[in-house]
Amino acid sequence: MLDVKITKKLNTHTLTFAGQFKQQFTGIMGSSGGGKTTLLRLIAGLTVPDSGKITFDKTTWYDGDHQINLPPGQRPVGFMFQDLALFPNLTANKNINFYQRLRLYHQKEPITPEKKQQLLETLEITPFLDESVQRLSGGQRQRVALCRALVQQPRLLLLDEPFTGLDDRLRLKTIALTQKALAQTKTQVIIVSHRRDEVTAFTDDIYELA
Amino acid sequence: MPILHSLVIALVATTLTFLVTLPIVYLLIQHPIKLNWAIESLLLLPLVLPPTVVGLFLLQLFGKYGIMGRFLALFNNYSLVFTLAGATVATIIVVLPIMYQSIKAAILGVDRHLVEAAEVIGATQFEVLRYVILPNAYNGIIIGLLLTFCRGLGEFGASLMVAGYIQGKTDTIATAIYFAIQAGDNNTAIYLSVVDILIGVTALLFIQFLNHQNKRGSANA
Repeated sequence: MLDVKITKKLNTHTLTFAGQFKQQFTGIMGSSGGGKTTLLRLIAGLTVPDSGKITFDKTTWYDGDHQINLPPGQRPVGFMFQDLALFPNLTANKNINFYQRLRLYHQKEPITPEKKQQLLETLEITPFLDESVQRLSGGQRQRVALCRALVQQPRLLLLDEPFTGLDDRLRLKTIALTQKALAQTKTQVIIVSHRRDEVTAFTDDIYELA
Repeated sequence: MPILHSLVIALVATTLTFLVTLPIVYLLIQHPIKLNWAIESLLLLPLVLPPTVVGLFLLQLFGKYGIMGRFLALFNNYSLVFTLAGATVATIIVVLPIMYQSIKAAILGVDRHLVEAAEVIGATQFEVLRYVILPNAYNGIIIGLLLTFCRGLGEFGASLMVAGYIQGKTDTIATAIYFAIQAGDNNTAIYLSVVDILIGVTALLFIQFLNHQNKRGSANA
């Protein structure tokens, strides 16, 4: 269970959030500039809160009072950025493998080849595995980014506006494939979006940021 | 001989400057400190000084009575003054700002999210540099290396102050052209100038090609 109670001063207001994430899927919604992405970054450790506490399954990731702040690499988190952050110089396969290779240093149980193959097939990535990510469509890039996050077998997956920029037909297909892939894991997922339908496709457990 | 000397000086100066500048720039960007502005100003200082001032400073430092000069003299009475090594040190100082600015621009041009994507999976600073920054800043860094090399090839003032002009020993393209003109040997001066222009134009064409590649890459991303 993820327990978050933090404050962070932003440009226009102070983000204050207190919540417990108990379900496998939790949604976070809110208007632009409300702090949705910042909240994910705070959980991942990419941004440091001003004060508060973040714990995950009894492990403290951040505690302002006791000056505890676990670096991002030591939190079992997968992060799918809004702009996907795929390495443009690599193919889809190398993007996934590169991520997996670096993560192996910290992983006690790396993903098995069978599981990885199943993930590639579920997300329908296999046909363009050796293509440069720069040549892929928006939906294909999105699935590569999701696969890259999932091969690390994170215990917590943070999805930041994962379906932004896709047309309606592609969005529905990508949501369906994402649901299928996530159903094969026990990973806890937090999905951030400004669109209610994207969040409710996964969960009715939703936090609204002002 | 001056062509070979110039190429060696420019090549060694470019390589050493790159090896020193890359980690400094990377650390200053990744871990900004309050004194960033002071370090950056110091690295850029040679850009706003006449090369002769840089040369004079180096002479004071590496001359017979300078701190470094006296230190080097402990090793078999070695001196940098009037040597190619001295010209190389002078060139390193002069080209440092160009290398610094080029590498800084190239690293800052890498999408911050790519770095964070690697940090999330526990990549070390070195791994981020090796696997994320360098491949994605590659063209910008190559452009920086070429610009630095070309500037090093044409370095005149500081090198002349430190290494002087000794034919067959410390003569470079730039100093040889100057002294050929002084001696009324226009043919040698023109020949050396043409060689310098050819090397410079080749480098600039390659830079334009890389810039074009960069723009195409950005458009496809």
